[in-house]
Amino acid sequence: MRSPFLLLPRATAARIIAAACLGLAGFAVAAPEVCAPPNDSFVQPESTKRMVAMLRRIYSEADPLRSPFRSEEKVPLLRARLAKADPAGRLDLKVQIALHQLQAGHIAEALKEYDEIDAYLRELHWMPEPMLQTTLLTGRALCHLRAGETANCLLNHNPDSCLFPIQGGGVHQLQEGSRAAVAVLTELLTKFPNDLRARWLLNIAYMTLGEYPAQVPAKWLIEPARFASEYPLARFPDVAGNVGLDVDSLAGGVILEDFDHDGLLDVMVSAWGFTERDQLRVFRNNGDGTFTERTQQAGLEGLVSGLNLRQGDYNNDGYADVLVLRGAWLGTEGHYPFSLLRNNGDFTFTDVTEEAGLLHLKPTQSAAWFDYNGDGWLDLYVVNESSGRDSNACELYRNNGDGTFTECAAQCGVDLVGFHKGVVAGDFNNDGRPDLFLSDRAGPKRLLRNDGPAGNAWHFTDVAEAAGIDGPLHSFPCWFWDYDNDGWEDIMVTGYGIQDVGDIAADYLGRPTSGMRARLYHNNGDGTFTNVSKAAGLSRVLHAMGANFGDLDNDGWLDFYVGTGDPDFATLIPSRMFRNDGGKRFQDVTTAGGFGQLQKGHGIAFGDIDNDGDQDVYSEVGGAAETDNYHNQLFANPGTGNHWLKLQLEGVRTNRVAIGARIKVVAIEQGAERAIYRTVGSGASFGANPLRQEIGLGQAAAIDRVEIFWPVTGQTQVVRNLSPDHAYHIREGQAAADLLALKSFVLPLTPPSGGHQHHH
Amino acid sequence: MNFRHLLPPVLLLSAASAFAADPGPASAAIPDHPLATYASLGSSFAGDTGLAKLGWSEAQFNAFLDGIRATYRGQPYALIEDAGRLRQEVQERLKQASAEVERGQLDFSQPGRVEAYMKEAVKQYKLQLSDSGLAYGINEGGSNFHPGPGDTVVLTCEAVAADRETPLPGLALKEQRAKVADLLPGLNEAVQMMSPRSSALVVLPPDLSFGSGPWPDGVPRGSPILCMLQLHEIVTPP
Repeated sequence: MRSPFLLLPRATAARIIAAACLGLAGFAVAAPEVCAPPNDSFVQPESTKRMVAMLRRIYSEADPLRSPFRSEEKVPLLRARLAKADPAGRLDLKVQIALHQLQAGHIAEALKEYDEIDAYLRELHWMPEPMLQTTLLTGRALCHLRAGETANCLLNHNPDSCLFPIQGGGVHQLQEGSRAAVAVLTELLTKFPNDLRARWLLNIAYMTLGEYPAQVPAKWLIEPARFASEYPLARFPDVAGNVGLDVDSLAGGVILEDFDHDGLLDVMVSAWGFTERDQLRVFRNNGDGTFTERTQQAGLEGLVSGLNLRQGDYNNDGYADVLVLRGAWLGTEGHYPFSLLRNNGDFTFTDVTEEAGLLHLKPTQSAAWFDYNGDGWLDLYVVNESSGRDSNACELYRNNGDGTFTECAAQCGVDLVGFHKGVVAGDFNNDGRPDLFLSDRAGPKRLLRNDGPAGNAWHFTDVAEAAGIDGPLHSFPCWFWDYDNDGWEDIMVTGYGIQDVGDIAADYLGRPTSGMRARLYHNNGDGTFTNVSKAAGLSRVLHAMGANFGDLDNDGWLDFYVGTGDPDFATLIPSRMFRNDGGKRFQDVTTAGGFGQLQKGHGIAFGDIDNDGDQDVYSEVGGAAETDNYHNQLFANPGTGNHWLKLQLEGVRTNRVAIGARIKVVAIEQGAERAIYRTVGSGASFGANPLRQEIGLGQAAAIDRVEIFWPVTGQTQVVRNLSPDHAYHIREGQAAADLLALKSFVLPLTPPSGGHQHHH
Repeated sequence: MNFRHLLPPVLLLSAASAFAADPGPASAAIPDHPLATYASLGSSFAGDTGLAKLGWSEAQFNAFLDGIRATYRGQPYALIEDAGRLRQEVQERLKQASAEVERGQLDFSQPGRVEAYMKEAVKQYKLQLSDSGLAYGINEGGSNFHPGPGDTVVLTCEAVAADRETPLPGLALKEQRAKVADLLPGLNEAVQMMSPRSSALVVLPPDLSFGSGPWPDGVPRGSPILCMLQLHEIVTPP
C-alpha cells in the first residue's frame, strides 16, 4: 500500500506528518488515515524471491576453501589433504585445522588438535621457532578464552558482558575457561616476555575473573589508569535486551530510521553470513519502550548476508529506501549482488534491484546516496573491492527519475579500482555540489571534487594529494562532518592495520607502535586540509570498522563512536567513544560511558530512539567467523540537561528526504550568537543515522534562526520562531516550520517482567 | 655505503626535476593545435630533460629533431664520434644542474626544508610518519615481540646523510648490543616498533637525532639522517 500522503498536496502532507499519530489540536485529519497500521497481509514479491534465490545459488556454488571463513566446511577438506602432505605441510595443515575448529566453535576438537601438534613436534624432534611457539600457545589460550566467553558472555548474557574493563555482571560466573587461559598465557609470557599480544590477553583474562588488577603480575600489568576516561561522562546503560533489540548475529550494518513516518525511529539490522541467523531484520518502534520484529511481514525473509546498510530515497516518495551491501572481504568469492529495497510506505519492502538496473555482482561494503548532478533525484556511488586479478571498478549510478538508474562511472572518471572500505559524500568546498571521499584498505585516499558538467558527462577530479590528504595508508570507515562548527566539512578517516592486538596494547601503554592511526583533517576553507589528529587527541590506533557520529551530551559538538576489531579471535579490543570538547580536542569516554564492548563492533547509529531529546546509540556487534556471533547493543542516553532541536527536512526541488541539505542553527547561548552546522545524511560510512537531524544546542535557551541551504536551487531558506527542545518539519521554500509533537517514552532499564527472550 | 640504490625514486625525481624546479620561461597557452595533447607532452618532455638550457641554434635543433624522427621511423642514424661527445656533454650539464638543485634542497638552514624533505621521503618510500615526526617503514620479521624501553637489543644500523650518499660511520652499529633507552630518540622509537629479524628504513628529522645538542663530526648539523636498521635479538634483562 502506498502512502496516503502521496494523494495529497505536499503542504497538506507536511501538516499531516506534523499531526500524524500525535493528536495535535488544529489538525482535522484523522490519525488512522495518515498513520495506518503496518501491512500484515503483504506477500513477498517475486522480485524479492528472485534475489533470495540468487543469494542461495551463489553461496552454494562458492568454493569453501577460497573463503576465509567457512570453517565448518573447511575442516574436513583440509583434513583430506593431510595424508599427502610432507612433514612441514602436515604441520601447517594441522595449525590451520586447529584454527578452523576454533572458528567453527569446536573448542574441544581445536584443543585436541593442538595436543596432536605438540605430539607431532616431539615425534619429529622439532624445536619450533619462537613465532610458531607463540602461535600454538596463543591458539590454546584463545580456545580457553572463547570457551569462557561462550559460557558467560553469550549464553548468560547481561549488559555488562564483555564490557571493557570487565566488572560487575561482566565477571565470569563460570571461570574454567579463563583460568585455563591465564595458565597458558602465563607460560607464554614467561618464555616470551615481549609478547604484547599475550600481555593484553592476560589482562583481559584476569578481568573476566574479577581479579584485575590485583592478581596480574606487576611486570605484565597494564594499569587501569591507561584506560581511564578523559571526561566524566555519565554511563549509558545497554538496554538492548530490555527492548528486544539485542539481536545475536555476526558482523553487519544498522539503520535507525522512521520507516513508516509515525515519528518513531525503527531499527533495521543485517548480518553478513548466509544462514537463517544472518537474516536482514526490521523492528518497528511501538512508542512504548517495546519493539516488534516485522521481518517476515515486511517481506524480507531470506534476504541475508548484508554487511552494511544505507538508506536513501531513490523514488523520491519521502520514504527511506534501503541499500543492502554484500560480498566484502570475500575476495573472488564475494561476487554477490547488493539489494535496493523499496520502502512501500506501509512497513513493507520490495527488492527492486533488478528492475532499477542495479543488479551487479561485485564485492562491496560501502555506497553513498547523493545527488551529484543536482536534478533532485538521488544518485548512487558504489565502491567495490578489487584483489589480485579480480578487478571491480567503482560504479556511479545516475538516477533516471523513473525508478531506474544508468551506470556512468567511466564517463565521469570515477570508475576507480581499489580495495575500498568506505565512501561518503559531502560538499567540502561549499560550491553546492556534493563531493566524495573514498577510504581504501591499502591504497591512496581519494577526495573526488565534483567539478560539474563536462560535455555529455559530469566531471570529478581527485584532489586528495593537493588538498593535503595523505593517509593513513591502511584505513576503513570515514566520514564528513563539521566537527568545529566553522561551516566547512572536515574529514575523519580511521586507520585499519595492526600486526596483532599487541599494537593496541602498545598504544594504551604509550609505546611506539606501527599500528595505523586515525586521521582528522581540518578543512582550511581554501580547498586544503590540515592533519590535526595529534592536536585533537585522535592520533590513536583505533582499529575501527563501524563508525558514526552524533552529539552524546547535546552540547552542539559532534562526538563519535567506533566499533573495533578484526576477524582474529585474539583481537579483543574495546569499541571506543570520543567526546568532542568544544571543537578542539576529543576525549576518550569509553570506560566512563560504558561503551567498551570487546566483541567485534560493526555498524553504528546515533538516534533519539525514545524521543526524549537526547541521542541513544545502537551498535551492531558480531564477528566474521561463523561462530563469532554476539548481541547487538542499545546504549540509552541518561540525559544531559542541555537543549536540543530536531529538524525533519523535506525537499521540493532538492530530493525529498533532503540528503545533502546544509543546516545552520543560530542559537543564543549566554547572550551571544552561536552557530551549529549539520548536513542531512546517514553519517559515517559503516552504520546509518536517521536522516532527521537531532541537534544539540548546549545551554542555548533561544534560537534566533535556522538557515537551510538547499543544494539544487542554491537558495538559503531562513526559518525563525523556533523554540529549543522541540521538533519541526521544514519544507523547502515554505516560510514557517510545522511543529512535530513526537511521542516520547522511557527506555526500560530492566528486562520486562517474565524475562526477555533474547534474539538469536 | 650508498643508500641511493635503496632509494631510487628520490634520486630519479631529483634529477628529473632539476630543470622542472627552475621556473624557466613562462608557459604559453597551447595554440589552437589539432593535436594539442601531443604538443603539450613535447613541451613537458623538453622541459624535464633540460633541452631549453642547451643553447642550440635553430639549425642545430632542427637537426636534432631530424634524428629523433629518423629513429621514430625505424631508421636511426649511427652514433658518430662527435655525437657521442655531445651526448656526454649534455649529460654532464644535466648532472651539474641536478646537483645544484639538490644542494639547494639540502640546505636545511632554510625554513621549511626539513619538513619538505621528510614529506618527500614519506611520499616516495611509502613510509609512515609518527606523531613525533619519525618517518619509518618496517619489514616485519615474523614475530610479534617488540622490545620495550627498558630492554637491550642487538642491532645493526647503517646510516647516511640526507644526500642519501655520504656514509655516517660514526653512527653505524654492527650486530651490537645497545640499550633501547640509550639510542637516539628516533632510533629508540623505531626499534620499539620492530621485532627480531625485522628491518626498517627510518628517516630521523634533526629533532629526533641530535637536536640542539652537539652534532658529531661529519654529520651535517640540523639535517635529517637516514638509517637502515636490522633488529637481530631482544636481550631479555636478567
